Amino acid sequence: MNIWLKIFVRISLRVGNWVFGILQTIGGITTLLWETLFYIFRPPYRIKETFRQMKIIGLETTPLIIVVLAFVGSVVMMELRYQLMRLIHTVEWVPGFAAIFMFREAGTAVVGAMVASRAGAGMAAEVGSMQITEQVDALRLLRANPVHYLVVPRFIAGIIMMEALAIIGVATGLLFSYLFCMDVHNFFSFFGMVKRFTESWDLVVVFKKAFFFGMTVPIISCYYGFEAKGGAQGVGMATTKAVVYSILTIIILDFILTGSEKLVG
Amino acid sequence: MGRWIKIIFEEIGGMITFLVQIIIAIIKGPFEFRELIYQCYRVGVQSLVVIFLAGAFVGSIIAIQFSYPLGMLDAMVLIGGVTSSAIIREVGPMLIAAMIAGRIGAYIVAELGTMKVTEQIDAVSCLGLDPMVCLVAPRFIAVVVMVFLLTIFGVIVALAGGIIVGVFMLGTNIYTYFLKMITLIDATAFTYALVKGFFFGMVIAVVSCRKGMLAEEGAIGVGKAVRDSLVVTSVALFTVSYLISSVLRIADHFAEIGRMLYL
Amino acid sequence: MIEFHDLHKSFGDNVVLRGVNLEVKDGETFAVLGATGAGKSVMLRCVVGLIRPDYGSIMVDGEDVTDVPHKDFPRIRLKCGMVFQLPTLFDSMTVGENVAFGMKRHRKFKNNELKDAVSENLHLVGLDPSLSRRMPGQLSFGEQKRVGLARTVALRPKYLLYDEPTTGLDPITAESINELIKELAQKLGVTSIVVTHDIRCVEVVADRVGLLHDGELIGIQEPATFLKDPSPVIQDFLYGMVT
Repeated sequence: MNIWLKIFVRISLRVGNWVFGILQTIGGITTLLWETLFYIFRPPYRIKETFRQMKIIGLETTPLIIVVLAFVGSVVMMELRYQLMRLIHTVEWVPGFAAIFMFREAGTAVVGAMVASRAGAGMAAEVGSMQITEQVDALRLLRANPVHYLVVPRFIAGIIMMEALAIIGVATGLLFSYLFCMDVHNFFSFFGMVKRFTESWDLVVVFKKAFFFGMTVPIISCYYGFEAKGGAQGVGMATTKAVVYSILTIIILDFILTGSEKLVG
Repeated sequence: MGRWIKIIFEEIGGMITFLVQIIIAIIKGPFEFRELIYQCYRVGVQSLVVIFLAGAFVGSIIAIQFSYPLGMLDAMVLIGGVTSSAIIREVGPMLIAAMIAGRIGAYIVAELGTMKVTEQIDAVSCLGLDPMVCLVAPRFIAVVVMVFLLTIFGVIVALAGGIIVGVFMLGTNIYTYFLKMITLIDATAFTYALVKGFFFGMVIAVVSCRKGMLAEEGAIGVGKAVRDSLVVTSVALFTVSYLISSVLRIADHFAEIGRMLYL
Repeated sequence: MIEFHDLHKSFGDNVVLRGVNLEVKDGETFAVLGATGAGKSVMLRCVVGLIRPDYGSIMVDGEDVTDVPHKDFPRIRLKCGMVFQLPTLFDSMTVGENVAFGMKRHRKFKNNELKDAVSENLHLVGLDPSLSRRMPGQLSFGEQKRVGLARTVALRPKYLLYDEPTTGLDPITAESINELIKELAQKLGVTSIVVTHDIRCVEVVADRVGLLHDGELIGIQEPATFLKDPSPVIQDFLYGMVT
């Protein structure tokens, strides 16, 4: 009886610790989010820095988005043709489904993941480097709030650029989907199908998702950047965590947004 | 435009060269068994939770997304088969690779990159050892093996996610789901997942190790190496995924024909 | 014996070595003085193949190491131990693992032998063996330098190449490092080349010294006479150092 109790306590402590750690992280990230929102509306408004961040995100991620969405577009088209051929023995409606997928998932979640990989990693690395070289502390000593100074520009840039990149992503995806069903459709029939299957709400979904994903990447990346410890290795770890947890959060948010829509109908 | 093509070719060439160097280092030995086990732990075990969560949610999303067109076609019955098929063939491996590339890839690049810019790699050389044998080879093998295993794990979790959503949210009968799952998946689907898992591991391993070893000066160089590796890995993974899908799809056609002839 | 013959190296327009000639006899400790960035480190790195000279040669025990294929370098590096300016310890491993890293891959060790060998080498560089379980990040800079030295010395090389051993240390710690270099030269019978811009270091450790000026090694002699050398170049250097 005693042994089982001991084991039970041991495991509970371990799990408890783990859960506590996760709660701490979620708490920390949420706090950072609130702080960022708070500081957005306070001067000085670092517009130049925001534009700089937008440029960085845009320049770094756009080529990647185009390449990746090109592949996604083609693969989705191939897969849908295969599936629909088996099920309903016609590929007439494929553009419709492809478009739905592009709008709802590819243009948003996939783009979000790419942004997290490139721009998010960069943000985590930059902030992390500053953290371990004590520049963040220096900021505080100079009475500049690090969240205001570092996070807010990236936050705003992230949201704006994510919207822009979502549009580019969706367009690229649709283009390549089209290229891979050119044997069955011409330009007009393709878009005819697209129009038949989508509604303006789908477009709203794109912007809605991009908005939330655009917030996620900077917040999480900067959070882990600030948490970086222990030299260049710490920066590396911070970068990894930022990318992975950004992508994970995007997936979870995606699920929540998608699922809630389904339930609401 | 020409510049882009040149960059791409250089990158591919560099990766192939590096891969050959790693293979030579592995053959040359001596084999660092303990280091390999340690790296496998670092790479694999710590990714389990992440893969679990990602897999579960993506599986669910796929099911939900397929429910729209299937609902319209009044073919909800097929949701089990379609979702599972898509997961195993495409989404599963891709997702795992994306998550892992982010986690492991970046970590290895950062670690090797930091070691490079702080001259630790040189230090290894100066101790009369080959960094490729001591440092790179164990990490490479660990990544290939663990990505393969994690892909299988992730696919299973994603399937489960699809099942749960299908049954609870969409109201499908669990038996129908499984039935359709089995009839619509064939052996070729598993081939997709396994082949992709293996090659994805290779890609992630080669790109991360190489970018790490070639990192340039300072912490900035390491950051750049990490970012570059994530880009190259993403592009390479999608390319490889596409190529494998194309090749295997041709095999699918033959299987289809074969089945029809047989029946 | 290490001989440098007419060594040349430039980086772009920057000519760093312009015909360096030097003969380091067995068992002696030779110090290379020079301003920062003069190319002293480059000399050392050419010996172990981290840098390839443009032309000229370096003979180590009669073998020209500048002309050697890449795969032979591990063998040469076992003979010529490089002690870096920055400790470059493996920061994800403990001190003990650092010291053992090279050792255990070149020799077969049984159970406790490795631990004892690590302790022995830590002891040799004046560190308490109990430090072997600490992480490099927890050590002071001076201690890290000693561990770096221990890691190289553990391979018992015939030659030790020190790149600015006392740079960045306070005078007291620097003095103890100087004593350590001298001690190791005696205890292990190694031939050493010490690259530095610290005159005090030269006074303590060097049997002979030379000044790397404008790509050439000049004023090669014993430290005592070097300090009194009337040549204007040398005087400028020493004078600059004193102020």
